[in-house]
Amino acid sequence: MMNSIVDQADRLAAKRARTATALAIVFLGSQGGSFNAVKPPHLDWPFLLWVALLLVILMFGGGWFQGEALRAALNDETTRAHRRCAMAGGFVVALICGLFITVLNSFAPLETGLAVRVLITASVSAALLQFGKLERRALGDG
Amino acid sequence: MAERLANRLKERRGELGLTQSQLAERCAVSRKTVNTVENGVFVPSTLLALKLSAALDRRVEELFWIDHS
Repeated sequence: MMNSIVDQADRLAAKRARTATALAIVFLGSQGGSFNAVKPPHLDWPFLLWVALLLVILMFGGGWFQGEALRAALNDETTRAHRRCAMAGGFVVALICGLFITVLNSFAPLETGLAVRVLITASVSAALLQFGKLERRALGDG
Repeated sequence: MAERLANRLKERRGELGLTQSQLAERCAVSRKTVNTVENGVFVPSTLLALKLSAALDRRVEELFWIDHS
């Protein structure tokens, strides 16, 4: 039973939860110092690729090279619920961040690129952190 | 009055001598799904509740009920 689909899905889900949390922290850390460096009309490819990668992990959850049964177990009902919850959390963070930026903008005008970058960074990181937390909690208390 | 979905999955699973992993395998879900449903953390869909009842050979209402505490 050690290599059953369920055991493999458990291992991969734990790895995915840790990876999501670690990537969110690394992403936040890497963006924190770069907000001052946003200069239009420069297209920041590393930032775009980072966000695309994180969104793919968040939305599709990995397991692409595994069999259909394992992929289904890896993205089963609780995982999909955690993903929805994390996305909703990210949306709320985006709204709060947008409100904060709107208020801040009335005192000190912000570059559009910078505002969008802060918004994306905060919302994607929050969603990933929440997904990782929910998954780890679900895996951990058995 | 708070309502929650209570269950006796763990008790029935114990009667059949199944582990969470074995029950998960029978329902084609992950162990964490079985674990969170058992602990009342996650409310299963109708589909999953029916799968669990079939795997545990009990009717859904024998395994799940609304707790009005």
